[in-house]
Amino acid sequence: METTLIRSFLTRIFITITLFFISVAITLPGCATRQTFKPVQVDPHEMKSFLSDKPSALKKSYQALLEEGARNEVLNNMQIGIDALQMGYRENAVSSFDLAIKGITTVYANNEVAKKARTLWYEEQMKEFKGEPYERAMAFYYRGVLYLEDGDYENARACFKSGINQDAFAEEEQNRCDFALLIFLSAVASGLSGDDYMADLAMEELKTLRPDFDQDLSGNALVLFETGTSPRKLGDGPGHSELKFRRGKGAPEQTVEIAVNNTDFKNVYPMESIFWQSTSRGGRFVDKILEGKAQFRQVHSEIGSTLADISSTGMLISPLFDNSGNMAGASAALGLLAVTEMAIAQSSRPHADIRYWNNLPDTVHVMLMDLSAGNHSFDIRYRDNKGNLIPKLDQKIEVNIQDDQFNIVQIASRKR
Amino acid sequence: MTKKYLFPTILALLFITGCSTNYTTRVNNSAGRATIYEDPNTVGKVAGVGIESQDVVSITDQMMRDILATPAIANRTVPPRVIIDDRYFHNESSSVINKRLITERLMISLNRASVGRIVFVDRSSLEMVQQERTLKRQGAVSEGTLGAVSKVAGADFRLIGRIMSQDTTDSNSGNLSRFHMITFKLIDLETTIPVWTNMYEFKKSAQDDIIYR
Repeated sequence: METTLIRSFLTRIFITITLFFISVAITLPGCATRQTFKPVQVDPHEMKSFLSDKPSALKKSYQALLEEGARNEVLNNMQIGIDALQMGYRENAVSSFDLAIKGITTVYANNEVAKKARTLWYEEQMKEFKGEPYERAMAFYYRGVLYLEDGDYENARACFKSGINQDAFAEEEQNRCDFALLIFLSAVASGLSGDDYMADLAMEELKTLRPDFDQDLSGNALVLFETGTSPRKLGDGPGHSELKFRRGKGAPEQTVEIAVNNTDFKNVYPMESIFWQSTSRGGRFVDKILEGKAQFRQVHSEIGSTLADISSTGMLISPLFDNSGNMAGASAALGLLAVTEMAIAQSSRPHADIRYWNNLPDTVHVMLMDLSAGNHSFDIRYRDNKGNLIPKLDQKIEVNIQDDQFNIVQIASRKR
Repeated sequence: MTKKYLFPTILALLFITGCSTNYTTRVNNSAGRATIYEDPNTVGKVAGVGIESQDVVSITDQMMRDILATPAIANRTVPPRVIIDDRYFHNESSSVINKRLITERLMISLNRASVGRIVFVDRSSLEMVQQERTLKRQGAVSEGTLGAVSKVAGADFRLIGRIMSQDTTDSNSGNLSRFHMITFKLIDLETTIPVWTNMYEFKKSAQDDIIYR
């Protein structure tokens, strides 16, 4: 009699605990935990010293550069580079793009962090950011343009060629090495360095990609117009494991027109859609890893869920059986198994890495000009995809053309 | 009464904390590594497929030895005057490089090793030298101890060359390889005849971790 009472008591305790865990298991699927990253502890003196010679407007970004460490070093340098360019801090832009390119060209072989990021229990975003091919190519674009401005045409061309190579990793064969903007700029750089052979080769290649581009390389000024906002990355699909690209928000401008010194407006040629480049690479190898992680999570989640259902049903109907204690005990054991399965499922991290270079443009337009030395006025207007003018974006810019150098003018439709 | 609310309360707490607790990882917060000197002749801790220090050292050492072994240059009765700089040494490759790393090292190594068998003319100093000569000729400053010469030195030979590369990528394996060919010529500045030529070739390949492909 006493033994039966003890057994009954223990069974009730077991059932109560199991019920508790089953309830937890039911709540788990709604609480997918994410891996986050603590800032690097930077010595305050070191931080102060690091920031002392940085422009005030960029201090916050430079602080993030140190605090987010190697994981986001390339990304932060990319973003600081454009911010610095937009604010007129050219030297900062140069050093930021140099550092970003250093990170991009680093070969990650036998890297511990990359190895962890491949495993089930860590997210892809744990890896040190190098960016997708379109982002890497754009880092070379900006550095190359800075070399062009400095008159170092050979290193400018090396940058543009390296950018083109980044695009060579596209999964879709027809979209490999089709970064027309970089091919065009490598032609410009070759022409400026007196290498007509390489300039012609690049222009021939450009013709296959942009047959309607009819400008030749004559002229003493290149105007680069940047419109729109950066392509965005989103996690979609099971466990947010599928990396998707979306056009930047809040920037309707699609085309640019320019009137130089109050002449008629002319269309500026849209040489490259950065958004299109982001979407054209096809799948990544890591997508298959993430897909596996997502499948793992789904399978274990389903097993756990089914076991939890069976367990709770067993608990409910156990009083109907003669040996209700055994029935409840078995249900409880199933419940514990369900919890374990759920916990394993929730520990896997299939999320795609959605960090992205957030101040890139959507499109880069180009125009070669032959202008006399001195000041020129540029009237610029933008149109949306339906051809409607966007008056609030109208710009009037004074440009000074030097006669002893090739002039690069960079104009953005908006501050990004 | 208390017991009645105990279970839902614990459940709610678990739900809330389960949703808000994130897994945190501290990355790259190691104590770091003190600066160390590395041998520029060897592959460093950070390596890519571009031109690196060990390549510059190998290239210039090999070219120096070859020039010194060329009788038409190093065994003349009157030491030839040679210009070695980056003016006509072009980078056509996809590797960003300061070309002077190669030309300066080559010139200095040759100058030291040739011990007077080759004389070097530094065209990059021409403007500076002419300014000083003008001051001397105008009497604004005194003559130097070496005395005056009527003209600055003309050269017999000048280095020209190209850095070229060919990149290949394999999107299936994520392999990137870069072949570099660096050509060197010493051109007779009277006849355009190349009196010495050589080249240096190397190919590097690398494969990123799959997570970056």
